[in-house]
Amino acid sequence: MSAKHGPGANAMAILTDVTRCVGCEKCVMACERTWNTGDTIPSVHAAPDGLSGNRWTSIVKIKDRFVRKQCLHCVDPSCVAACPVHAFYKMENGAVIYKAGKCIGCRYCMIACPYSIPRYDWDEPKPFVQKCKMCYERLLEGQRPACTQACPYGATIFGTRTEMIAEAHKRLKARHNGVEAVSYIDKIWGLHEYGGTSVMYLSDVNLYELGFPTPGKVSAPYDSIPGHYSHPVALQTPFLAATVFGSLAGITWIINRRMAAAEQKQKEKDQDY
Amino acid sequence: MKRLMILKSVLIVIAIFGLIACIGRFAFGLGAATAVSDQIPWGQWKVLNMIAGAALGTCGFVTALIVVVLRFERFEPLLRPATLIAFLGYGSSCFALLLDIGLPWRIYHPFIYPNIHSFLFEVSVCVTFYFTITAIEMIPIVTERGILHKFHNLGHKIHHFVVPIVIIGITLSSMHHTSLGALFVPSPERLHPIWYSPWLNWIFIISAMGAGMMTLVWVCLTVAGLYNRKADLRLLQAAAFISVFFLCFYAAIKAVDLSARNVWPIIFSGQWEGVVFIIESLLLVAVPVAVMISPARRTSAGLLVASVSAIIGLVMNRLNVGIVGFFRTAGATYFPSIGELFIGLGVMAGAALLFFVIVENYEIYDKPPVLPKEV
Repeated sequence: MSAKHGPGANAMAILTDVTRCVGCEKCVMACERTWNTGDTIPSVHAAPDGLSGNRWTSIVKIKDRFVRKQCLHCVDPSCVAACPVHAFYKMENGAVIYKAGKCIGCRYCMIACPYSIPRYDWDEPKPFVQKCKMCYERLLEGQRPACTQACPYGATIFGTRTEMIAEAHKRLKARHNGVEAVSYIDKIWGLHEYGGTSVMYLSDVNLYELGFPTPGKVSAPYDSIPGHYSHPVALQTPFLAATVFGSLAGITWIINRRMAAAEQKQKEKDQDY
Repeated sequence: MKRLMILKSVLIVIAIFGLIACIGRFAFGLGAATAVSDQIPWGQWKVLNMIAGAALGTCGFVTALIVVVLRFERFEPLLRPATLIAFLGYGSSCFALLLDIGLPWRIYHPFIYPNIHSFLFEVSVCVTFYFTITAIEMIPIVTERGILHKFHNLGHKIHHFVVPIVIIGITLSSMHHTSLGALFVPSPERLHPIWYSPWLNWIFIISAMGAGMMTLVWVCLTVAGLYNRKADLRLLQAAAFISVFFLCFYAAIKAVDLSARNVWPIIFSGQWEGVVFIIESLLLVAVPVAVMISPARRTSAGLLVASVSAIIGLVMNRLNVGIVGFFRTAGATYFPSIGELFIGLGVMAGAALLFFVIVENYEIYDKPPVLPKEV
């Protein structure tokens, strides 16, 4: 079942506490092992952030902190709205999954994702889009995502979205990450951005680099969801079509009537003579 | 005639190179053939061949609107050239899309797995239907003579329904040209603020209508030059005025949009994007307007400058919105690979060659420019 609107009661989430990550990459290895994502020889078409068609999660360095990058599993994902063949689904348990059998390879998801997460199998003759699926199949079996299970430092944890938000608020309030006191930026990254995400972060450095909306960058409402940017625009289309069709049909009708009337008049004139 | 032969030979060579590169693209995949990457996922084929190609084909529906619906019969001589340009523009657009998508054999999937919320779904459906409509509009022309003459009854039948066909075509065009712009509306943070706009759908259709009419002017002037015919400069001037009307309308929308989002300071802040935008705007709007308000508008040279400038400006605009505007946030740049370039140019060369074949064999212009026997 795919979710309709907002995070349901069963929606799960991942909370990554940047202050507890040491960059051991055990999560990355667990992901590779679990899903057999292939070798890690970087393609020339891959980005330097480590994510690629062969890697669904990676560790990037932001101001000497290790930050785990993965699909953020938006509450109202842009990719789901953008895909012309509906290959992306937001599931009830929070995961955003990809159905390869439908994909045509247009790569519009890669343009539409505000976090630039989807990657492509550039070097395959039969290429697909690749991204983290929050271990959707494992969740159905009652297991945790492989990365959260693998983390030896508890830097990335898993639970319902409500639980994760409560835990994040607790840590922010205590200014303590459970191991040591830290000076967090007073913000849960992913709580509201673009309508909220199911992968949230706590951090003592700014995470704009991950693609979170940067204040002052564009003059658009920051809480807006990319999907919601496009919804009003999408609504204009049927009205536009109806207006164009209706007015052209009307103009044609009027012109035809006038031409017929003029012809009739000409005929009457001819008869008079 | 020598010029025409040289031009055709060059086009044939480019088309052959493109065809060879095309085989490579299907044998070795997108990665080997193109320079697109995870950071800049859309390249030349999608943005230049597909988006800009469709934009330059708008002359078909604008001219049909003027002649068939609004009955400005003065423009009737332009109807057939405009229809042919639209047919070839959309044909090459669809063909480029087929090359660009990763799994082209699934091209029909939007029809069986539709996502009605997707702009790209709307674009693909409307472009398919509109291409069909331009093809239907071509039937009366190509059945008048030649090998397809035996189907001329079909051509006559279609002629009776030309008004509804044209109205449906205009509706489809207005839908997919707005949606082509709306493709980039979900990327406010990634697309540079100079080119991002919540009104991209209106910006795209208005600028495409302007540049599309200029494409018609340019093609008519080029055909007149190549076949030593006299172009009807007064008529082309009128078409260019229609184009300039739309281009000014575009400039007004863009100016209001830049003010509303307070982007003017960014344009003049010294970022290279600002310079690119100024060049683009000069070519797309300032040069055509300057030509059309000066006496140069009465000469074919003046019209040539105005039309070529507008076409280059529009292509630049589409490349900027679809590719260049993403450079800064992606932290990467893109330039097409040799193979990508040749395939893209090959598609255009193929369309141009088909144009020459149809112009030489059918009544596109009032008197068909029949080639002399010796060259």
